[in-house]
Amino acid sequence: MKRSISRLTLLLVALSVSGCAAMLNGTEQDVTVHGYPNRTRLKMTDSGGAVVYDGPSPGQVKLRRKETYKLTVSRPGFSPETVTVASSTNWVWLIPAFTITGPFEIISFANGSVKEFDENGIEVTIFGEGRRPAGAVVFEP
Amino acid sequence: VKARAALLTLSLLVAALAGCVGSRSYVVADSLKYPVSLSSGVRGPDGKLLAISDTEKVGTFHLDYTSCRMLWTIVPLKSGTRDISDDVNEQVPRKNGEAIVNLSVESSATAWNLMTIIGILPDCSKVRVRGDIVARSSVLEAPVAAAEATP
Repeated sequence: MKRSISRLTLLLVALSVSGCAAMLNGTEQDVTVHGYPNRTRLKMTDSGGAVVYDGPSPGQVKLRRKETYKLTVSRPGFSPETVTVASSTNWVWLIPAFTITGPFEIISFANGSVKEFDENGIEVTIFGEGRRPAGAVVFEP
Repeated sequence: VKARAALLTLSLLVAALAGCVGSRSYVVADSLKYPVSLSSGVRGPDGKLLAISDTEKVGTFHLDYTSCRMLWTIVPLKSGTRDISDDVNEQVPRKNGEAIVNLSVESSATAWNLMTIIGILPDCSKVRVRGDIVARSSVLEAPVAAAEATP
């Protein structure tokens, strides 16, 4: 009985110090990556150069929220584009910082749980060689 | 008489509370430079429907705005009617697109909905407009000189 209570107490302490965003949001996010027009090839690497995805569009990737990635989109006859993909802070996760668990929310900030990539996915458009229009928008972070 | 008065009061109260949440917005496009379709079909320069396989998506059209009304949505306060022409005319050429297909309009709740108790108060809704910006494959892949000559 005593052991069960100790385990339960330990579990509750562990949960309370994990931070709200870390518990509910997690440190990774599933993101869909689109390259336009059709038949584009995607290559995504993390800041250390490790390949996260290399294949056709669209691609489904699991990204670490605090990581920054490079995404290269290419297709024969089109100018390849490389963009930087980064998450941004979702300020809703600041609210728990003002509650009783506030001090522990620092963990959520440290491990990137308060950050989010665009929920609509990542979308990059490439243009035919010499066909890039004035004011073209390749990627809207 | 008392019973009738009570019934009338109750009816008025129910009427006052009914339909009290939300807003209403009309989406119009009066000065478009590019074709916009609610379906996946779009006509080419010759007026004939293009096959879906002849077009490619080059980007997503996106527009989000908030519409507010009050007095049971009778009085428009903000974006009662929204002309999306400028947004279409700006976003389509930025992607080398020629048209928008699959245009959709969705509305959803805002925090205002929780605060509005009766229809007389202002209330707001979020409106989300999305569509696929497309171009003909033949134009996307054409050599620069040929593509520029295409109307």
